[in-house]
Amino acid sequence: MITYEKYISVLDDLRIDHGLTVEELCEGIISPRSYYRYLNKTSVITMDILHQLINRLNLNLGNVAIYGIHFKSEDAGVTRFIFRVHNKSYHDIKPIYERVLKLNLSNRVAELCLNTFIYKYQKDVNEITADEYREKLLLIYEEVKDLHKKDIRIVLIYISLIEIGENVISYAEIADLILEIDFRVESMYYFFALDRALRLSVKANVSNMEKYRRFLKHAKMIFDYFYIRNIMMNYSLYIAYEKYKTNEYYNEDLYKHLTNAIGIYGKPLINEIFYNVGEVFKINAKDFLVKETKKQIERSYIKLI
Amino acid sequence: MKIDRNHLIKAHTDLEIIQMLDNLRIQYDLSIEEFTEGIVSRRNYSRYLNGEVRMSFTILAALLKKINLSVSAFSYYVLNTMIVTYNHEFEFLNHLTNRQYKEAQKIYEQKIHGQQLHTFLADKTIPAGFVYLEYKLNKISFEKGRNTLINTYPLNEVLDRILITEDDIMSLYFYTKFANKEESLRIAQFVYDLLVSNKRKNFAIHVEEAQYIAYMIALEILYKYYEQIKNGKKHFEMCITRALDFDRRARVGNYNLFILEPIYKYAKSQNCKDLDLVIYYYVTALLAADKDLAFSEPFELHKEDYEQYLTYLQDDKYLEMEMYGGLINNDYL
Repeated sequence: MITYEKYISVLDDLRIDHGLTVEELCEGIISPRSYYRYLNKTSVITMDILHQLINRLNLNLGNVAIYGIHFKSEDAGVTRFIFRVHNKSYHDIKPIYERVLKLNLSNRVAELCLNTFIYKYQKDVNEITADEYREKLLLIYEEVKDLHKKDIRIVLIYISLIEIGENVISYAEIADLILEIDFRVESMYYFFALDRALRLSVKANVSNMEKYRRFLKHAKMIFDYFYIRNIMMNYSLYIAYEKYKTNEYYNEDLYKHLTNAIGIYGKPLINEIFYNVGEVFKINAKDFLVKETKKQIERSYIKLI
Repeated sequence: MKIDRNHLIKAHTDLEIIQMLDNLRIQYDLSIEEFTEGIVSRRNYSRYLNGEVRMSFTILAALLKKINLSVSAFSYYVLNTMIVTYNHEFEFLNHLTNRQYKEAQKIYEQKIHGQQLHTFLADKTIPAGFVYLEYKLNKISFEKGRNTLINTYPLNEVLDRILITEDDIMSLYFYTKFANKEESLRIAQFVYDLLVSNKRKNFAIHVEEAQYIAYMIALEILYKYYEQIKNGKKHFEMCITRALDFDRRARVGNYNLFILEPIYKYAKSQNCKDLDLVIYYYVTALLAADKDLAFSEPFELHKEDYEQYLTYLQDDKYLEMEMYGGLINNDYL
């Protein structure tokens, strides 16, 4: 976790990189003497002063957090690890995985949530069996079941459980929690929770379409801030599914799902996707791709020469 | 036309930060008593909220612990709030880098022109982006745009930076559009230091987007000059491998289109042995993007390559390939 001392020392690193003297940085905000007191930890800076100093460097608190995460190893690979596990992008995960295994997070909720990703990865690469995965998640559940649910990391833990058929909470409750929680807090976890909840909805064969539509609308707003192709690929599938269920024209959305899929995944995942699409939409996914491509090539931004 | 570089980014005041903190308290369903217990008195907390007393960093950290959040997570929350509130500044940039000039113009006229800017794009990116937009909309000539940037853009200052923010890299993208050969090669060296040698560090909030833009700059310059510089072809091919390797990890937005487009042109002109793979990924990327995107400049595709693509779609060799399989040269990573 990035601490107060780190923020101040990072600020000073940045000052030097920007070629500013202490006097230049502090002018009109605080005296250089106060600055040195903060730096030497003999006095504690207030938030607004810290913000003003960071802004003088044309930066903000986020940059300082980024600096801590990327260059002072504050994050120790957690973000990179969960990003890869969520997207099943495992080609370079090994060193990151080994690093997060050694972590000892001071925040228990963060640690438990990370553990669900670690176990998910271990299950995906057959380090543990599906039964062992279940046992581990149930142990985590015992620890979080009485905690406040309006924390997206807790929601992710619940989603992990629902995914394996442990319906410790209803799908509707998960959807309500996601709609209620502020996505600006721990936003990456939020995006992943939303994506996984939507994925569950396809499998769960949702009956309340009105609620599902509201959920999709919310997802679109959120994903516009976080445009990852995997997530958009999934999102297109959810939209296609909604249209399929209501007998609307879904070809374009399904096509978007499949073209993204073939651009991202290889064997064996792509075959799984073809199979699932075939099962849900009652089509041959490969034939659909060829047939639809002949129509889709007519786009304003593609110039055939 | 004058570029005003004196936009002041509005810093969050202590009071605004405390209000955001209190907003989180409410979201976590905690009473003020529960939230402050063992840290500060209820009375003092109210004084923070009223702006009478300023909160220290250590008190903030202790309060955040009550809701299981770190100071980093809170910093991101403050940052995300800024991004959401002033999202139009990012949209302006995204439309420009995505060649959607009419959309960029609309946002500029409705939400940016004459307004105070609030994000870290205010200093260089939005002013430089505006020059590029005017040029792309044929409102100013290339020479006029170049002259404006020469007089206003702090190229040397940016190229001296070690810690690179998005404002540095995004604005450099626009400068590159007007750069001469000598400047382009300096910019290419700068980007090389950032992407390959790690002499400079990507310090952007949107790390991935900044990295994509850096690759777009590098590919653009190398495509233009590879025949004129020593080992140009090798540098270009290294850049291709690295850009694709980066994209297979990040997978953000439509940036793959802008990376694959110069690669396709290059592979086509050189009749590369892997041309089939390039066609497969380039056309897939074109078709996977939103069909209604209004790119102001179309992506060119040779008809015979499209015909080939239809056959690739029926061939498991392509469909089952790992992302960019066959196009990544491990010697360059």
